[in-house]
Amino acid sequence: MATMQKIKNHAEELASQIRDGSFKAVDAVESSLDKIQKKNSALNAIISTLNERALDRAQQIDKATTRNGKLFGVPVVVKDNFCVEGSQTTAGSKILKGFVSNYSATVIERLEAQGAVVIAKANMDEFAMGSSNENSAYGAVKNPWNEACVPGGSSGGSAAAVASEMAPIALGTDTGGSIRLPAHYCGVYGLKPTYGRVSRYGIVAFASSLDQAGPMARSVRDLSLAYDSVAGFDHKDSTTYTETAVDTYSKLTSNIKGKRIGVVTSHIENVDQNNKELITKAIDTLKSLGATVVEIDLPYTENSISVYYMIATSEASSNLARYDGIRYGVRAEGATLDELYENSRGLGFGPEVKRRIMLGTYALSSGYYDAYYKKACQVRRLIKNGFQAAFEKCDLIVGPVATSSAFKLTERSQDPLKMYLNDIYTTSINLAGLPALSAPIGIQKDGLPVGLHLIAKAYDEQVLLNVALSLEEALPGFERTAGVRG
Amino acid sequence: MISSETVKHVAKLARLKVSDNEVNEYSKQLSRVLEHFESLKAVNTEGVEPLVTPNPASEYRRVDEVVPSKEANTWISHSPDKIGNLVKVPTVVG
Repeated sequence: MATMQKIKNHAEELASQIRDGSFKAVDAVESSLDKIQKKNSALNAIISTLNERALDRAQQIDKATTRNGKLFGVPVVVKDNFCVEGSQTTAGSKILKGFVSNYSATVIERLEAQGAVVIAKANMDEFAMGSSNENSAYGAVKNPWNEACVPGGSSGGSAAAVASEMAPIALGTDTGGSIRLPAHYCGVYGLKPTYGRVSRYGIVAFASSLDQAGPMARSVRDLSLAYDSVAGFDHKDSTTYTETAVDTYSKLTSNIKGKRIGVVTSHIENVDQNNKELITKAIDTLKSLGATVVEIDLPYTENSISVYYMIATSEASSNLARYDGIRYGVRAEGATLDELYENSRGLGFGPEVKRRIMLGTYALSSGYYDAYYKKACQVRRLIKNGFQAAFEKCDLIVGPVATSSAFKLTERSQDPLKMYLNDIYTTSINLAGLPALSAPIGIQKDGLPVGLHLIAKAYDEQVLLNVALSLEEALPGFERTAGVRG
Repeated sequence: MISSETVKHVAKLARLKVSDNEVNEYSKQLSRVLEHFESLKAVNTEGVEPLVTPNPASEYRRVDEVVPSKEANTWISHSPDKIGNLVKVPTVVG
Protein backbone atom coordinates (compact mmCIF):
# COMPACT_ATOMS: atom_id res chain seq x y z
CA MET A 1 0.00 0.00 0.00
CA ALA A 2 1.14 3.48 -0.78
CA THR A 3 2.83 5.51 1.86
CA MET A 4 1.88 9.13 2.37
CA GLN A 5 4.36 11.32 0.60
CA LYS A 6 4.28 15.02 0.21
CA ILE A 7 2.54 15.87 -3.02
CA LYS A 8 4.78 17.54 -5.57
CA ASN A 9 4.35 21.26 -5.61
CA HIS A 10 3.52 21.62 -9.29
CA ALA A 11 1.52 19.65 -11.84
CA GLU A 12 4.27 19.83 -14.46
CA GLU A 13 6.81 18.07 -12.24
CA LEU A 14 4.26 15.65 -10.78
CA ALA A 15 2.92 14.55 -14.19
CA SER A 16 6.46 14.00 -15.44
CA GLN A 17 7.33 11.79 -12.44
CA ILE A 18 4.12 9.79 -12.71
CA ARG A 19 4.70 9.30 -16.45
CA ASP A 20 8.16 7.87 -15.88
CA GLY A 21 6.95 5.76 -12.95
CA SER A 22 9.06 7.43 -10.25
CA PHE A 23 5.93 8.63 -8.43
CA LYS A 24 2.54 6.97 -8.17
CA ALA A 25 -0.78 8.58 -9.11
CA VAL A 26 -2.38 6.77 -6.17
CA ASP A 27 0.06 8.47 -3.78
CA ALA A 28 -0.60 11.83 -5.34
CA VAL A 29 -4.37 11.39 -5.05
CA GLU A 30 -4.22 10.04 -1.48
CA SER A 31 -1.97 12.88 -0.42
CA SER A 32 -4.37 15.40 -1.92
CA LEU A 33 -7.41 13.81 -0.31
CA ASP A 34 -5.55 13.77 2.99
CA LYS A 35 -4.83 17.47 2.72
CA ILE A 36 -8.48 18.17 2.03
CA GLN A 37 -9.45 16.19 5.10
CA LYS A 38 -6.97 18.12 7.25
CA LYS A 39 -7.63 21.61 5.95
CA ASN A 40 -11.22 21.70 4.85
CA SER A 41 -12.80 22.14 8.27
CA ALA A 42 -11.04 25.50 8.51
CA LEU A 43 -11.40 26.64 4.90
CA ASN A 44 -14.69 25.05 3.71
CA ALA A 45 -13.27 25.07 0.18
CA ILE A 46 -14.69 21.67 -0.78
CA ILE A 47 -18.34 20.57 -0.99
CA SER A 48 -17.72 16.90 -1.81
CA THR A 49 -14.79 14.57 -2.44
CA LEU A 50 -14.74 11.83 -5.07
CA ASN A 51 -12.54 9.37 -3.14
CA GLU A 52 -13.61 6.11 -4.72
CA ARG A 53 -13.81 7.40 -8.29
CA ALA A 54 -10.47 9.22 -7.93
CA LEU A 55 -8.60 6.27 -6.43
CA ASP A 56 -9.99 3.92 -9.10
CA ARG A 57 -8.76 6.23 -11.81
CA ALA A 58 -5.38 6.70 -10.14
CA GLN A 59 -4.92 2.92 -10.01
CA GLN A 60 -5.73 2.64 -13.71
CA ILE A 61 -3.21 5.39 -14.45
CA ASP A 62 -0.50 3.62 -12.46
CA LYS A 63 -1.15 0.43 -14.45
CA ALA A 64 -1.46 2.11 -17.88
CA THR A 65 0.92 1.04 -20.62
CA THR A 66 0.50 4.25 -22.62
CA ARG A 67 1.97 6.89 -20.35
CA ASN A 68 1.33 10.21 -21.95
CA GLY A 69 -0.99 13.02 -20.96
CA LYS A 70 -0.28 16.60 -20.04
CA LEU A 71 -1.68 16.07 -16.55
CA PHE A 72 -0.89 12.40 -16.12
CA GLY A 73 -2.00 11.41 -12.61
CA VAL A 74 -2.39 15.00 -11.43
CA PRO A 75 -5.14 15.59 -8.81
CA VAL A 76 -7.50 18.35 -9.86
CA VAL A 77 -10.28 20.12 -7.96
CA VAL A 78 -13.23 21.40 -10.00
CA LYS A 79 -15.83 23.98 -9.08
CA ASP A 80 -19.14 22.37 -8.19
CA ASN A 81 -20.84 23.67 -11.33
CA PHE A 82 -19.03 21.17 -13.59
CA CYS A 83 -20.94 17.94 -14.12
CA VAL A 84 -18.83 14.87 -13.34
CA GLU A 85 -20.55 11.61 -14.23
CA GLY A 86 -21.80 9.74 -11.19
CA SER A 87 -21.17 12.51 -8.68
CA GLN A 88 -23.17 15.24 -7.03
CA THR A 89 -23.26 18.69 -8.68
CA THR A 90 -24.84 21.38 -6.51
CA ALA A 91 -23.67 24.68 -8.07
CA GLY A 92 -23.55 25.86 -4.45
CA SER A 93 -27.34 25.75 -4.30
CA LYS A 94 -29.82 23.97 -2.06
CA ILE A 95 -32.08 23.55 -5.09
CA LEU A 96 -29.65 21.02 -6.62
CA LYS A 97 -28.79 19.20 -3.40
CA GLY A 98 -28.50 15.49 -4.18
CA PHE A 99 -28.43 15.97 -7.96
CA VAL A 100 -26.13 13.32 -9.42
CA SER A 101 -25.09 13.98 -13.00
CA ASN A 102 -25.35 11.14 -15.50
CA TYR A 103 -22.71 12.61 -17.79
CA SER A 104 -19.49 14.64 -17.63
CA ALA A 105 -18.84 18.15 -18.94
CA THR A 106 -16.63 18.29 -22.04
CA VAL A 107 -13.84 19.93 -20.03
CA ILE A 108 -13.95 17.11 -17.47
CA GLU A 109 -13.66 14.52 -20.27
CA ARG A 110 -10.71 16.47 -21.69
CA LEU A 111 -8.95 16.75 -18.33
CA GLU A 112 -9.38 13.02 -17.84
CA ALA A 113 -8.16 12.30 -21.38
CA GLN A 114 -4.91 14.02 -20.33
CA GLY A 115 -4.67 11.78 -17.27
CA ALA A 116 -5.93 14.26 -14.67
CA VAL A 117 -7.81 12.85 -11.69
CA VAL A 118 -10.79 14.85 -10.41
CA ILE A 119 -10.62 14.51 -6.63
CA ALA A 120 -13.17 17.01 -5.34
CA LYS A 121 -15.91 19.51 -6.13
CA ALA A 122 -15.17 23.02 -4.87
CA ASN A 123 -17.45 25.34 -2.95
CA MET A 124 -18.74 28.39 -4.83
CA ASP A 125 -21.24 31.21 -4.67
CA GLU A 126 -24.70 29.84 -5.47
CA PHE A 127 -24.98 29.54 -9.27
CA ALA A 128 -21.70 31.49 -9.46
CA MET A 129 -23.48 34.65 -8.32
CA GLY A 130 -21.09 36.50 -6.05
CA SER A 131 -17.70 38.09 -5.66
CA SER A 132 -16.85 36.92 -2.13
CA ASN A 133 -18.03 33.30 -1.90
CA GLU A 134 -20.39 34.23 0.91
CA ASN A 135 -23.48 33.27 -1.14
CA SER A 136 -23.02 29.50 -1.01
CA ALA A 137 -25.77 27.34 0.47
CA TYR A 138 -22.87 25.29 1.90
CA GLY A 139 -21.38 28.17 3.87
CA ALA A 140 -18.72 30.78 3.14
CA VAL A 141 -15.20 29.77 2.06
CA LYS A 142 -12.28 31.22 4.07
CA ASN A 143 -9.16 32.76 2.59
CA PRO A 144 -6.16 30.45 3.27
CA TRP A 145 -3.90 33.48 3.85
CA ASN A 146 -6.21 34.89 6.51
CA GLU A 147 -9.30 33.01 7.58
CA ALA A 148 -11.07 36.20 8.65
CA CYS A 149 -11.09 37.28 5.00
CA VAL A 150 -13.09 36.23 1.95
CA PRO A 151 -11.35 34.17 -0.74
CA GLY A 152 -13.19 36.07 -3.47
CA GLY A 153 -15.89 34.60 -5.64
CA SER A 154 -17.47 32.94 -7.22
CA SER A 155 -14.73 30.31 -7.73
CA GLY A 156 -13.54 30.86 -4.14
CA GLY A 157 -13.34 27.17 -3.26
CA SER A 158 -11.19 26.44 -6.31
CA ALA A 159 -8.79 29.30 -5.48
CA ALA A 160 -8.57 28.37 -1.80
CA ALA A 161 -7.92 24.71 -2.74
CA VAL A 162 -5.01 25.65 -5.00
CA ALA A 163 -3.62 28.26 -2.58
CA SER A 164 -3.65 25.79 0.33
CA GLU A 165 -2.06 23.06 -1.83
CA MET A 166 -5.02 20.68 -1.73
CA ALA A 167 -4.27 20.24 -5.45
CA PRO A 168 -1.89 21.90 -7.91
CA ILE A 169 -4.70 22.77 -10.32
CA ALA A 170 -8.37 23.70 -10.10
CA LEU A 171 -11.03 24.65 -12.60
CA GLY A 172 -13.31 27.61 -12.12
CA THR A 173 -15.75 29.61 -14.19
CA ASP A 174 -15.73 33.34 -14.82
CA THR A 175 -18.87 35.28 -15.77
CA GLY A 176 -17.82 38.71 -14.47
CA GLY A 177 -14.55 38.06 -12.64
CA SER A 178 -15.20 34.77 -10.84
CA ILE A 179 -11.80 33.25 -11.67
CA ARG A 180 -9.72 36.43 -11.54
CA LEU A 181 -11.07 37.91 -8.28
CA PRO A 182 -10.44 34.77 -6.18
CA ALA A 183 -7.06 34.28 -7.90
CA HIS A 184 -6.13 37.85 -6.86
CA TYR A 185 -7.40 37.41 -3.28
CA CYS A 186 -5.78 33.98 -2.82
CA GLY A 187 -2.42 34.60 -4.53
CA VAL A 188 -2.78 32.08 -7.36
CA TYR A 189 -2.83 32.33 -11.15
CA GLY A 190 -6.24 32.38 -12.77
CA LEU A 191 -7.02 32.47 -16.49
CA LYS A 192 -10.34 33.48 -17.97
CA PRO A 193 -10.02 32.42 -21.62
CA THR A 194 -11.57 34.18 -24.61
CA TYR A 195 -15.31 33.59 -24.86
CA GLY A 196 -15.59 30.51 -27.07
CA ARG A 197 -12.19 29.00 -26.24
CA VAL A 198 -13.53 26.50 -23.74
CA SER A 199 -16.68 24.43 -24.12
CA ARG A 200 -19.55 25.25 -21.80
CA TYR A 201 -21.21 21.85 -22.31
CA GLY A 202 -21.99 20.25 -18.96
CA ILE A 203 -21.36 23.39 -16.90
CA VAL A 204 -24.30 24.77 -14.93
CA ALA A 205 -25.26 27.92 -16.86
CA PHE A 206 -25.43 31.36 -15.25
CA ALA A 207 -25.23 33.94 -18.08
CA SER A 208 -24.57 32.18 -21.36
CA SER A 209 -23.05 35.07 -23.34
CA LEU A 210 -20.54 35.72 -20.52
CA ASP A 211 -19.74 32.35 -18.90
CA GLN A 212 -16.33 30.86 -19.58
CA ALA A 213 -14.43 28.11 -17.75
CA GLY A 214 -10.73 28.34 -17.01
CA PRO A 215 -7.88 27.04 -14.86
CA MET A 216 -6.25 28.17 -11.62
CA ALA A 217 -2.73 27.11 -10.61
CA ARG A 218 0.36 28.09 -8.60
CA SER A 219 2.64 28.51 -11.61
CA VAL A 220 2.25 29.86 -15.14
CA ARG A 221 3.49 26.60 -16.64
CA ASP A 222 0.81 24.64 -14.77
CA LEU A 223 -1.79 27.17 -15.81
CA SER A 224 -0.75 26.76 -19.45
CA LEU A 225 -0.85 22.94 -19.24
CA ALA A 226 -4.33 22.99 -17.73
CA TYR A 227 -5.58 25.53 -20.25
CA ASP A 228 -4.22 23.54 -23.20
CA SER A 229 -5.90 20.43 -21.79
CA VAL A 230 -9.41 21.89 -21.74
CA ALA A 231 -9.46 24.43 -24.60
CA GLY A 232 -10.63 23.82 -28.15
CA PHE A 233 -13.63 23.35 -30.40
CA ASP A 234 -16.51 21.22 -29.14
CA HIS A 235 -19.36 20.19 -31.40
CA LYS A 236 -21.61 20.22 -28.33
CA ASP A 237 -21.14 24.00 -27.86
CA SER A 238 -21.75 26.02 -31.03
CA THR A 239 -20.14 29.11 -29.47
CA THR A 240 -16.72 27.41 -29.33
CA TYR A 241 -13.99 28.73 -31.60
CA THR A 242 -13.01 26.48 -34.50
CA GLU A 243 -9.39 25.86 -33.47
CA THR A 244 -9.23 22.30 -32.16
CA ALA A 245 -5.77 21.82 -30.65
CA VAL A 246 -4.58 24.65 -28.44
CA ASP A 247 -0.91 24.61 -27.51
CA THR A 248 0.38 27.52 -25.43
CA TYR A 249 2.79 25.38 -23.39
CA SER A 250 5.34 24.67 -26.13
CA LYS A 251 5.31 28.37 -27.10
CA LEU A 252 5.83 29.74 -23.57
CA THR A 253 8.57 32.35 -23.42
CA SER A 254 9.49 34.96 -20.86
CA ASN A 255 11.06 37.12 -23.55
CA ILE A 256 8.71 40.09 -23.75
CA LYS A 257 11.05 42.57 -25.46
CA GLY A 258 9.15 45.04 -27.56
CA LYS A 259 5.71 44.16 -26.19
CA ARG A 260 3.53 47.23 -25.91
CA ILE A 261 1.69 47.33 -22.60
CA GLY A 262 -1.39 49.51 -22.27
CA VAL A 263 -2.10 51.15 -18.94
CA VAL A 264 -5.03 53.29 -17.76
CA THR A 265 -3.30 55.38 -15.10
CA SER A 266 -6.55 56.44 -13.43
CA HIS A 267 -7.45 52.79 -12.77
CA ILE A 268 -4.18 52.26 -10.90
CA GLU A 269 -4.59 55.58 -9.05
CA ASN A 270 -8.00 54.40 -7.82
CA VAL A 271 -6.87 51.35 -5.92
CA ASP A 272 -5.74 50.86 -2.36
CA GLN A 273 -2.19 52.14 -1.66
CA ASN A 274 -0.70 48.67 -0.98
CA ASN A 275 -2.04 47.34 -4.26
CA LYS A 276 -0.91 50.42 -6.11
CA GLU A 277 2.69 50.04 -4.95
CA LEU A 278 2.88 46.41 -6.05
CA ILE A 279 1.16 47.07 -9.39
CA THR A 280 3.53 49.96 -10.10
CA LYS A 281 6.50 47.76 -9.21
CA ALA A 282 5.26 45.01 -11.55
CA ILE A 283 4.88 47.51 -14.41
CA ASP A 284 8.41 48.81 -13.75
CA THR A 285 9.63 45.20 -13.89
CA LEU A 286 7.95 44.72 -17.27
CA LYS A 287 9.67 47.89 -18.52
CA SER A 288 13.04 46.62 -17.30
CA LEU A 289 12.41 43.42 -19.28
CA GLY A 290 12.09 45.42 -22.49
CA ALA A 291 8.37 46.12 -22.73
CA THR A 292 7.14 49.60 -23.50
CA VAL A 293 4.27 51.17 -21.62
CA VAL A 294 1.63 53.23 -23.42
CA GLU A 295 -1.20 55.20 -21.87
CA ILE A 296 -4.58 54.11 -23.16
CA ASP A 297 -8.19 55.06 -22.54
CA LEU A 298 -11.07 52.71 -21.80
CA PRO A 299 -13.95 55.16 -21.89
CA TYR A 300 -16.85 53.01 -20.69
CA THR A 301 -15.27 51.28 -17.68
CA GLU A 302 -17.55 53.23 -15.33
CA ASN A 303 -20.62 51.90 -17.14
CA SER A 304 -19.52 48.29 -17.24
CA ILE A 305 -21.02 47.35 -13.85
CA SER A 306 -24.49 48.55 -14.87
CA VAL A 307 -24.27 46.90 -18.27
CA TYR A 308 -22.95 43.68 -16.78
CA TYR A 309 -25.55 43.33 -14.03
CA MET A 310 -28.37 44.09 -16.46
CA ILE A 311 -27.23 41.51 -19.03
CA ALA A 312 -26.07 38.86 -16.54
CA THR A 313 -29.28 38.97 -14.51
CA SER A 314 -31.44 38.95 -17.64
CA GLU A 315 -29.69 35.86 -18.97
CA ALA A 316 -29.76 34.26 -15.51
CA SER A 317 -33.50 34.79 -15.10
CA SER A 318 -33.96 32.82 -18.30
CA ASN A 319 -31.31 30.13 -17.59
CA LEU A 320 -32.57 29.47 -14.08
CA ALA A 321 -36.17 28.95 -15.23
CA ARG A 322 -35.26 25.25 -15.58
CA TYR A 323 -35.15 24.84 -11.78
CA ASP A 324 -38.83 24.25 -11.39
CA GLY A 325 -39.00 21.28 -9.03
CA ILE A 326 -40.18 18.98 -11.82
CA ARG A 327 -37.21 17.35 -13.51
CA TYR A 328 -34.52 17.65 -10.88
CA GLY A 329 -33.61 19.18 -7.57
CA VAL A 330 -35.79 20.16 -4.66
CA ARG A 331 -39.56 19.96 -4.95
CA ALA A 332 -41.98 21.66 -2.56
CA GLU A 333 -45.68 20.84 -2.37
CA GLY A 334 -48.21 22.86 -4.33
CA ALA A 335 -51.88 22.35 -5.17
CA THR A 336 -51.37 23.62 -8.72
CA LEU A 337 -48.40 23.47 -11.07
CA ASP A 338 -47.73 27.20 -10.62
CA GLU A 339 -47.81 26.87 -6.85
CA LEU A 340 -45.40 23.95 -7.06
CA TYR A 341 -43.00 26.06 -9.18
CA GLU A 342 -43.25 29.08 -6.89
CA ASN A 343 -42.84 27.12 -3.68
CA SER A 344 -39.96 24.98 -4.99
CA ARG A 345 -38.06 28.00 -6.28
CA GLY A 346 -38.85 30.05 -3.18
CA LEU A 347 -37.50 27.23 -1.01
CA GLY A 348 -34.51 26.18 -3.12
CA PHE A 349 -32.90 29.47 -4.17
CA GLY A 350 -30.88 31.64 -1.79
CA PRO A 351 -31.35 35.42 -1.36
CA GLU A 352 -28.76 36.62 -3.91
CA VAL A 353 -30.03 34.27 -6.61
CA LYS A 354 -33.61 35.41 -6.00
CA ARG A 355 -32.51 39.04 -6.10
CA ARG A 356 -30.81 38.52 -9.47
CA ILE A 357 -33.72 36.56 -10.94
CA MET A 358 -36.02 39.40 -9.86
CA LEU A 359 -33.75 42.03 -11.40
CA GLY A 360 -33.42 40.12 -14.67
CA THR A 361 -37.14 39.38 -14.88
CA TYR A 362 -37.87 43.07 -14.30
CA ALA A 363 -35.39 44.13 -17.00
CA LEU A 364 -36.93 41.77 -19.54
CA SER A 365 -40.55 42.47 -18.61
CA SER A 366 -42.96 44.25 -20.88
CA GLY A 367 -42.33 47.99 -21.09
CA TYR A 368 -38.78 47.89 -19.65
CA TYR A 369 -36.94 45.78 -22.22
CA ASP A 370 -35.76 48.68 -24.41
CA ALA A 371 -34.80 50.91 -21.49
CA TYR A 372 -32.74 48.26 -19.73
CA TYR A 373 -31.72 45.14 -21.64
CA LYS A 374 -31.45 46.68 -25.10
CA LYS A 375 -29.72 49.79 -23.78
CA ALA A 376 -27.23 47.60 -21.91
CA CYS A 377 -26.49 45.59 -25.07
CA GLN A 378 -25.84 48.81 -26.99
CA VAL A 379 -23.36 50.05 -24.38
CA ARG A 380 -21.86 46.54 -24.43
CA ARG A 381 -20.93 47.12 -28.08
CA LEU A 382 -19.34 50.48 -27.18
CA ILE A 383 -17.30 48.73 -24.46
CA LYS A 384 -16.09 46.14 -26.97
CA ASN A 385 -15.26 48.88 -29.51
CA GLY A 386 -13.31 50.70 -26.77
CA PHE A 387 -11.10 47.66 -26.26
CA GLN A 388 -10.61 47.26 -30.00
CA ALA A 389 -9.41 50.87 -30.25
CA ALA A 390 -7.07 50.36 -27.29
CA PHE A 391 -5.56 47.23 -28.84
CA GLU A 392 -4.48 49.23 -31.87
CA LYS A 393 -1.98 50.90 -29.54
CA CYS A 394 -0.89 47.93 -27.42
CA ASP A 395 -0.48 44.15 -27.28
CA LEU A 396 -1.98 43.76 -23.85
CA ILE A 397 -3.42 45.84 -21.03
CA VAL A 398 -2.38 45.60 -17.39
CA GLY A 399 -4.08 47.03 -14.32
CA PRO A 400 -5.82 46.14 -11.07
CA VAL A 401 -8.11 43.13 -10.64
CA ALA A 402 -10.10 44.85 -7.90
CA THR A 403 -9.83 48.01 -5.85
CA SER A 404 -8.24 46.23 -2.87
CA SER A 405 -7.03 42.88 -1.58
CA ALA A 406 -9.30 40.39 0.18
CA PHE A 407 -11.77 42.08 2.50
CA LYS A 408 -13.20 40.78 5.78
CA LEU A 409 -16.02 38.24 5.80
CA THR A 410 -19.50 39.88 6.15
CA GLU A 411 -17.96 43.34 5.60
CA ARG A 412 -19.90 43.91 2.37
CA SER A 413 -22.48 41.15 2.31
CA GLN A 414 -25.36 43.32 3.54
CA ASP A 415 -25.02 45.80 0.69
CA PRO A 416 -25.56 44.21 -2.74
CA LEU A 417 -24.68 47.37 -4.70
CA LYS A 418 -21.40 47.81 -2.84
CA MET A 419 -20.56 44.18 -3.58
CA TYR A 420 -21.42 44.62 -7.28
CA LEU A 421 -19.17 47.70 -7.53
CA ASN A 422 -16.28 45.46 -6.50
CA ASP A 423 -16.37 43.98 -10.02
CA ILE A 424 -15.56 47.24 -11.82
CA TYR A 425 -12.34 46.05 -13.49
CA THR A 426 -13.37 42.48 -14.29
CA THR A 427 -16.86 42.62 -15.82
CA SER A 428 -15.98 44.59 -18.97
CA ILE A 429 -13.68 41.72 -20.05
CA ASN A 430 -16.59 39.27 -20.12
CA LEU A 431 -18.82 41.79 -21.87
CA ALA A 432 -16.19 42.10 -24.62
CA GLY A 433 -15.42 38.35 -24.62
CA LEU A 434 -11.67 38.90 -24.09
CA PRO A 435 -9.10 36.67 -22.37
CA ALA A 436 -7.64 37.89 -19.07
CA LEU A 437 -5.36 36.58 -16.39
CA SER A 438 -4.75 37.38 -12.75
CA ALA A 439 -1.08 36.91 -11.82
CA PRO A 440 0.16 37.09 -8.20
CA ILE A 441 2.76 39.86 -7.94
CA GLY A 442 3.42 40.13 -4.23
CA ILE A 443 2.23 40.14 -0.65
CA GLN A 444 1.21 43.34 1.05
CA LYS A 445 2.29 44.31 4.56
CA ASP A 446 -0.78 42.72 6.15
CA GLY A 447 0.11 39.36 4.58
CA LEU A 448 -2.53 39.33 1.85
CA PRO A 449 -1.59 38.63 -1.78
CA VAL A 450 -2.07 41.01 -4.69
CA GLY A 451 -2.71 40.08 -8.31
CA LEU A 452 -2.10 41.93 -11.55
CA HIS A 453 -4.83 41.92 -14.19
CA LEU A 454 -3.56 41.18 -17.72
CA ILE A 455 -5.97 41.56 -20.65
CA ALA A 456 -5.38 40.62 -24.30
CA LYS A 457 -7.09 40.59 -27.67
CA ALA A 458 -9.53 37.78 -28.38
CA TYR A 459 -7.75 34.40 -28.77
CA ASP A 460 -4.35 35.75 -27.64
CA GLU A 461 -4.05 33.80 -24.38
CA GLN A 462 -0.40 33.21 -25.32
CA VAL A 463 0.69 36.80 -24.68
CA LEU A 464 -1.00 36.73 -21.25
CA LEU A 465 0.83 33.55 -20.28
CA ASN A 466 4.17 34.82 -21.62
CA VAL A 467 3.99 38.13 -19.78
CA ALA A 468 2.84 36.37 -16.59
CA LEU A 469 5.81 33.99 -16.97
CA SER A 470 8.21 36.90 -17.34
CA LEU A 471 6.88 38.38 -14.08
CA GLU A 472 7.00 35.03 -12.32
CA GLU A 473 10.68 34.70 -13.19
CA ALA A 474 11.62 38.31 -12.57
CA LEU A 475 9.82 39.29 -9.38
CA PRO A 476 12.23 38.56 -6.54
CA GLY A 477 11.66 37.00 -3.16
CA PHE A 478 7.97 36.26 -3.47
CA GLU A 479 6.73 32.93 -2.18
CA ARG A 480 3.97 32.11 -4.61
CA THR A 481 2.45 29.15 -2.84
CA ALA A 482 0.13 30.01 -0.02
CA GLY A 483 1.41 26.89 1.64
CA VAL A 484 1.81 29.10 4.66
CA ARG A 485 -0.44 26.73 6.53
CA GLY A 486 1.78 23.73 5.92
CA MET B 1 -38.50 53.48 -6.63
CA ILE B 2 -39.75 49.95 -7.19
CA SER B 3 -43.05 49.57 -5.34
CA SER B 4 -44.13 46.50 -3.37
CA GLU B 5 -46.78 45.84 -6.03
CA THR B 6 -44.15 45.80 -8.77
CA VAL B 7 -41.98 43.43 -6.73
CA LYS B 8 -44.95 41.08 -6.24
CA HIS B 9 -45.79 41.26 -9.95
CA VAL B 10 -42.19 40.47 -10.98
CA ALA B 11 -42.04 37.62 -8.45
CA LYS B 12 -45.17 36.19 -10.05
CA LEU B 13 -43.58 36.43 -13.50
CA ALA B 14 -40.44 34.73 -12.18
CA ARG B 15 -42.48 32.02 -10.41
CA LEU B 16 -40.84 32.86 -7.11
CA LYS B 17 -42.62 32.72 -3.79
CA VAL B 18 -41.51 35.70 -1.74
CA SER B 19 -42.38 36.57 1.85
CA ASP B 20 -43.58 40.04 2.94
CA ASN B 21 -40.13 40.66 4.39
CA GLU B 22 -38.51 39.78 1.08
CA VAL B 23 -40.90 42.09 -0.78
CA ASN B 24 -39.80 45.01 1.41
CA GLU B 25 -36.15 44.10 1.12
CA TYR B 26 -36.21 43.64 -2.67
CA SER B 27 -38.17 46.83 -3.13
CA LYS B 28 -35.37 48.79 -1.42
CA GLN B 29 -32.41 46.89 -2.85
CA LEU B 30 -33.65 46.74 -6.44
CA SER B 31 -34.48 50.44 -6.34
CA ARG B 32 -30.90 51.23 -5.35
CA VAL B 33 -29.44 49.00 -8.04
CA LEU B 34 -31.74 50.44 -10.71
CA GLU B 35 -30.82 53.97 -9.65
CA HIS B 36 -27.24 53.07 -10.45
CA PHE B 37 -28.36 51.90 -13.90
CA GLU B 38 -29.78 55.36 -14.58
CA SER B 39 -26.21 56.48 -15.34
CA LEU B 40 -26.46 54.52 -18.60
CA LYS B 41 -28.99 57.04 -19.87
CA ALA B 42 -26.18 59.55 -20.26
CA VAL B 43 -24.43 57.30 -22.80
CA ASN B 44 -25.31 58.15 -26.38
CA THR B 45 -26.27 54.90 -28.09
CA GLU B 46 -28.12 56.31 -31.06
CA GLY B 47 -27.69 53.98 -34.02
CA VAL B 48 -25.58 51.50 -32.02
CA GLU B 49 -26.43 47.89 -32.85
CA PRO B 50 -27.00 45.90 -29.62
CA LEU B 51 -24.27 43.31 -28.94
CA VAL B 52 -25.82 40.12 -27.58
CA THR B 53 -22.87 37.75 -27.80
CA PRO B 54 -19.23 38.83 -27.78
CA ASN B 55 -17.53 36.74 -30.45
CA PRO B 56 -19.09 35.35 -33.61
CA ALA B 57 -20.17 31.75 -33.16
CA SER B 58 -18.56 29.12 -35.36
CA GLU B 59 -20.33 28.23 -38.58
CA TYR B 60 -20.36 24.65 -37.47
CA ARG B 61 -23.54 22.69 -37.99
CA ARG B 62 -23.39 19.07 -36.94
CA VAL B 63 -24.45 16.35 -39.36
CA ASP B 64 -28.02 15.26 -38.81
CA GLU B 65 -27.46 11.65 -37.92
CA VAL B 66 -28.57 9.33 -35.16
CA VAL B 67 -25.98 8.83 -32.44
CA PRO B 68 -26.30 6.80 -29.24
CA SER B 69 -27.42 8.73 -26.17
CA LYS B 70 -28.30 7.92 -22.58
CA GLU B 71 -31.37 5.88 -21.79
CA ALA B 72 -34.46 7.92 -20.90
CA ASN B 73 -34.56 6.53 -17.36
CA THR B 74 -31.13 7.99 -16.55
CA TRP B 75 -32.58 11.45 -17.15
CA ILE B 76 -35.91 10.76 -15.46
CA SER B 77 -34.05 9.41 -12.43
CA HIS B 78 -33.19 13.01 -11.44
CA SER B 79 -36.83 13.89 -10.91
CA PRO B 80 -37.92 14.23 -7.28
CA ASP B 81 -41.28 12.53 -8.01
CA LYS B 82 -41.77 9.91 -10.70
CA ILE B 83 -43.49 6.67 -11.63
CA GLY B 84 -41.42 4.47 -13.89
CA ASN B 85 -40.31 6.63 -16.79
CA LEU B 86 -42.92 9.30 -16.12
CA VAL B 87 -42.54 12.50 -14.10
CA LYS B 88 -45.36 13.15 -11.64
CA VAL B 89 -46.91 16.66 -11.54
CA PRO B 90 -50.06 18.13 -10.03
CA THR B 91 -53.24 18.04 -12.12
CA VAL B 92 -52.86 20.50 -15.00
CA VAL B 93 -56.23 20.11 -16.70
CA GLY B 94 -59.01 19.84 -14.17
